[in-house]
Amino acid sequence: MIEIENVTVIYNKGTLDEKVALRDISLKVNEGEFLVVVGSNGAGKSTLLKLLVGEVKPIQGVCKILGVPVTSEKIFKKTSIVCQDPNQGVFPNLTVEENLILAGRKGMRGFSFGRISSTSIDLLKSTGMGLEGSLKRKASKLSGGQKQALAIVMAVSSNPKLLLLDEHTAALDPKSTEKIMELTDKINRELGTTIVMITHDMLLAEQFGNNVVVMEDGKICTKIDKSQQKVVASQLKSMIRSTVFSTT
Amino acid sequence: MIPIIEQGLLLSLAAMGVYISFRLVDLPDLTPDGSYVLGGAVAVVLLHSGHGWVFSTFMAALAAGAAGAVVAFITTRFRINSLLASIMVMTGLYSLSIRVMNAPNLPVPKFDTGKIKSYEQIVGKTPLDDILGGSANTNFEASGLKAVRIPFTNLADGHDLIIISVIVLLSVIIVALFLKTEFGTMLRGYGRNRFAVKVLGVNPDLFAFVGLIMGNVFAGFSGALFSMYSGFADVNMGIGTVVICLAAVILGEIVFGSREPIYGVIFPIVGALLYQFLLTFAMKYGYRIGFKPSDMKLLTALFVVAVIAIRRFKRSEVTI
Ligand SMILES: Nc1ncnc2c1ncn2[C@@H]1O[C@H](COP(=O)(O)OP(=O)(O)OP(=O)(O)O)[C@@H](O)[C@H]1O
Ligand SMILES: [Mg+2]
Repeated sequence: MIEIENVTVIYNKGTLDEKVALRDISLKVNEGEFLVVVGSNGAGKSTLLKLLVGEVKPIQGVCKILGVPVTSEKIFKKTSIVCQDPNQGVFPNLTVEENLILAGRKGMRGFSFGRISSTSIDLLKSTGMGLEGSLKRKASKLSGGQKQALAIVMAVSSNPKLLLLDEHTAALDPKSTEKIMELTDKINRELGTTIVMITHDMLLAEQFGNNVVVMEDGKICTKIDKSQQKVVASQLKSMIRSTVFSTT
Repeated sequence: MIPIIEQGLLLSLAAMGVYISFRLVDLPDLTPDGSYVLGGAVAVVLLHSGHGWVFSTFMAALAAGAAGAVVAFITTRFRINSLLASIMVMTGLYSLSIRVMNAPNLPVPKFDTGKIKSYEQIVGKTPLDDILGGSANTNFEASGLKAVRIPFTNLADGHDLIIISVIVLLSVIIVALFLKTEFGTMLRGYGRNRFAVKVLGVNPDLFAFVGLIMGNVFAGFSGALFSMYSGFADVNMGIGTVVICLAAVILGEIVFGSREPIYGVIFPIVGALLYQFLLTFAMKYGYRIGFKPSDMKLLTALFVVAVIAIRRFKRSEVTI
């Protein structure tokens, strides 16, 4: 599914605030895999996702998805992304309904009046936020968590092959987190959607996913296959802390 | 009264264009200052060459739309701010409009609209002039120009008002329906979140083109109709169009408050009418406080800045 080979990403190259965000990274993610990425702030996790959708360009190495090098917005035909910031995932000036109509499928639109699909409504209900009762509200009027829930529903409602999640539960309360993670896991298991999920919640890393990757200072320092090795939250936590010490 | 509404409605078409570019797709565009003139120039030149007013207006709107496409091309391809890109195009259009007219201004070949009764009104001279042989060059046919039927009579009898109202109403309906379609919904979404459009696998730049073309089509449309209405196209008639239209849009927004009927397409219409009334009022009674008609543009600019300043002051910068 994903093949990253010896990729280096540098922000603001050639300027004073040049920053190496990814250092010679290689990573392979198989189809149907649920990969969890953890690591301290500034480790380069978000940059990794940006690389996967072509928002940052590698200065060295190649990044391929389904065998095709990532170039234009065409990558999004089969990929969805949910960012840390709830505002990035929704159209604030459109109603919840309009947001879902647009997100229902990928690609260009015609001049027909769209209708919301029942799948979208069901997905919305499964978040347990009661959003199905406020279809006519503007997305900008929702709370941060509600926005994020909407963004997640939007991301999955087009049934993408690859789902990228950047701390998608960070804005949610524990109850909603549980619901959303249930949904996330279900999408991976039932639809076979490949998932790359970034999280700072070690319990989530322990509970979900097939593999865990620990990132530090732009590098992948550990990759754990859950079928081989049990992942315990406290242990993961200490791994992140120790790598911080080793680099500083 | 009737001419005020007529002029307000003609202005509202350009204001609709400004609403589309500044508000709907959020790409500030100054081109209307030039595309308004280009619309007038193309329309009048085509009238001179004997084309009907519908065709002339259509081509005028198309030419203005092409100017919008150029702005969109520059902003998207070279990642130049739309404001800067549009200043280039606007400046270029000044020369282009003079080229089109082959002069800085051009009168409309007005003739036989079926409503004008007297001979003087038609040829602009009295029968006596013919007999006495004076001012023969004002004879329309003799000047080699073909007389063309245009839709306006300028008689303020409601005839023009009906035509203009129908045009504006149709425009509002068409734009509203367009914005309701999935494509139109995505265009509106593009205005606030370019990235989310991209995530749906659609190239966001497309909407920059659609938005800027639409915005300028309306500016050119308005310019063409106004030229026919006022009887001339002049290269300077576009100065301040954007600011005036922006003032109209803002007035409309103030009238409707937080409500947004038909995606806000109504704002420029109501706002332009209101603006025209205020303008007339200021021109009529302003002299008492030493106000001159030429002060209106300054006043309009101050108004726009004031409203923007007030809004910035009221809106909290923190969005959580
Ligand atoms: N647009 C940018 N311009 C310059 N530097 C950037 C930019 N985005 C990120 N960086 C830098 O690149 C490094 C990696 O950032 P990244 O956002 O990938 O971290 P992260 O692992 O996602 O952190 P967090 O857990 O805080 O989200 C950081 O040091 C950051 O300062
Ligand atoms: Mg991050």
